[in-house]
Amino acid sequence: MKIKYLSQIPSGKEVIIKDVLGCQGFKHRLYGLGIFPGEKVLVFKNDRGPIILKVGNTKLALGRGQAQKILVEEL
Amino acid sequence: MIKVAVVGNPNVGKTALINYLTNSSLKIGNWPGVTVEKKEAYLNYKGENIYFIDLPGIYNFTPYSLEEKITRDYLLKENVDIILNVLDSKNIKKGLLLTSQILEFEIPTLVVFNMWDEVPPNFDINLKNFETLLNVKAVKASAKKGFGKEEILNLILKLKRENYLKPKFIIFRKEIENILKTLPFKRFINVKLLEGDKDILKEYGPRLKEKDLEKLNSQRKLLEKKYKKEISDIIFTERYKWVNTIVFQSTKGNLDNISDLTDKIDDIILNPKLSPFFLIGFIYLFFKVIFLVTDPFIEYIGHIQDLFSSLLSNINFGKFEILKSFIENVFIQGIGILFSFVPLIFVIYLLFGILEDSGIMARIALLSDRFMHKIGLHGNAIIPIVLGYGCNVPAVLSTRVMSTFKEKLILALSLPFTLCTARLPIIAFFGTTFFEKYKSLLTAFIYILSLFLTLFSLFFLKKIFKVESSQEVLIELPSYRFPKISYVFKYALDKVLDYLKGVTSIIFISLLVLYFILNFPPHADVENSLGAYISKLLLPLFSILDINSWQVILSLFPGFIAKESVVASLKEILSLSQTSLNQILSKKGALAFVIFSSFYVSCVATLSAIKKELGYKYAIFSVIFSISLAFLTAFIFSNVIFQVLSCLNMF
Repeated sequence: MKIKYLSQIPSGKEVIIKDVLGCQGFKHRLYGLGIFPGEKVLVFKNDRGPIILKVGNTKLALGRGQAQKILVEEL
Repeated sequence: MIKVAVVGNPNVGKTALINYLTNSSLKIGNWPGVTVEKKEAYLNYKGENIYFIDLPGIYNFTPYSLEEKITRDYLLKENVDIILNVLDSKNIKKGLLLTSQILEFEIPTLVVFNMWDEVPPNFDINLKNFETLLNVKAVKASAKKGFGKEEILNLILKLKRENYLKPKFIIFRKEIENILKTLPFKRFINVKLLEGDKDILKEYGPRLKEKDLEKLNSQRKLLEKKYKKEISDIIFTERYKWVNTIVFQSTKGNLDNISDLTDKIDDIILNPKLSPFFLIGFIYLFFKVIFLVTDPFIEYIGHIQDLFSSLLSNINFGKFEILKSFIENVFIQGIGILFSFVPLIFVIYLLFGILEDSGIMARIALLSDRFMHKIGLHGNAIIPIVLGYGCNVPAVLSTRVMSTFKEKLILALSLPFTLCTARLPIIAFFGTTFFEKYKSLLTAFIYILSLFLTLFSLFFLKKIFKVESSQEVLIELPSYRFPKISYVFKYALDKVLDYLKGVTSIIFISLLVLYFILNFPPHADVENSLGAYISKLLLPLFSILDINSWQVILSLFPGFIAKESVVASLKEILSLSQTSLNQILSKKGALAFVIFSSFYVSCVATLSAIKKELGYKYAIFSVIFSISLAFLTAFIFSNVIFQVLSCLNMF
């Protein structure tokens, strides 16, 4: 399967987190929110502005720039 | 007394749970020196006093946010007897990630699976297994549906009585444990030292022998080199592994992607084509409600103030007649100002409470972020800015929605440039007197200028205070739920008391100073008062703006108390000195005056709100900053417009 950036995934698709790039602080914040390599995440909305994810049963909004630091694999 | 620290992720219903456990006796304040809310409650249960402290909701114990630091320091230093770890039962994995770190404080722990009523029927958790695996106590509960209370309270008593239940923390891989074994502190500190946490290293590092510290650093480097990962990443991997094991061994059924009403509503509201309409409609409604509800009250308070004044005028002070005006102008007016904002603040906090509790606030912040981000601000800045156009006081108080102090700082200092409704009478009065034909144009111009100045001020202060460009949003959108009205009411009431405590002194000090400026020496007429003297001193400065009359300058002083009094006092001063405005002020001067008086210091109450939120230093800064910027703007725009308009022969 091809690795993509989270920002490239259309609404409604489920993905597996592969890696989180960026500084320690950013990575730890995402890890705490449940975005960790190996975890499953649903892209709830990805159209304009921030991307909305469903991690477990929590909805999370994150900016596009941040989504470009998250590597994922489509399911 | 049993000290119970309530810890958990944000939006897991910690506050509601404490409220439920203590029969709604929660008190809301602030942590000393910061604007993070501090909530605590006491309960006497079966003869034992239990103290609950609601620690800020967090995801991790990293040193990156204020909330994380507060929670960490409290657990390390405040002799907590029991940790009440609250989890959202629908989000067990995320909750357990924090639990894995909580266990390392080695404090007896009670895990509450809150919102248990919301999990699907095929999901269940085996509490016995869970308790054995972690060596903690665990309960299923729902503050909303009202179950689990007795069990939680009894377990708190039991944990205290037995006081031996040391939680079982994660045992990491051997190489890591071998290093941790050599460190002498609590598990939590040891792990953080190994991770190289800056705060913990600074505080506990010096307590190690120098060669031990060096050894620790070299061991950390060695491990990181071996795994080509930072040590905190390795530890996170182990935590995630542990979480998955615990979930596997103590739960059955599936929690994956419960699609609920929240998803359906979000599907519509967050749709990019529809969302602007929702946002605008929502903000409109917000203000409509605020002013619809508060206007009658504000009028009422005005009447009460008048009543006191008239009562006062009937009292014979004899020789001390001068005291009468002092009492009226300082005390009655002060109390009037203080209380005239109470309904407004109460209603706004009530709405804030409802919006936050229901999950709507997070959506507003998200939707506004799309365009607020372009001007370098977080989405949540929209509320204070829009509020400012109604009244600056609640706007400043509401800057607490900003996530960092610096963002709050630049926003609170820029809000006085938003044109509150109290300034409209000045524009109307000068418009009628000087620019009859262009009155509405003048009003529109001042509004645009206000928006421009607010943005300019934000931009400028950002540079001055070196605020980093705002980061992108990263917010949780909690599920929609009905807010608990009794809690929201109490919250708003606590906030009003907090406001009264915070602003009273500065309002009275300002009124006192102004009283002396306007009424000293006693029995002097306007022309010879201290205020007139100061105004005359300021004449050369104001003549730059083509304002050449001390009477006009004098009217600016009462404007400090409330902007709407500029017009009234100007009329009074003019009648006392028997001249008319047209005689003493040019059109250019009038334009400059309208601009200046619209934007110099918004009012005493706003200033006191700034002092309450940021302290005296920044309140004084705000005075100097707003006066300078107002003066500069008045100078530039009156000249430019005057030049342009005289060329067009419109003046």
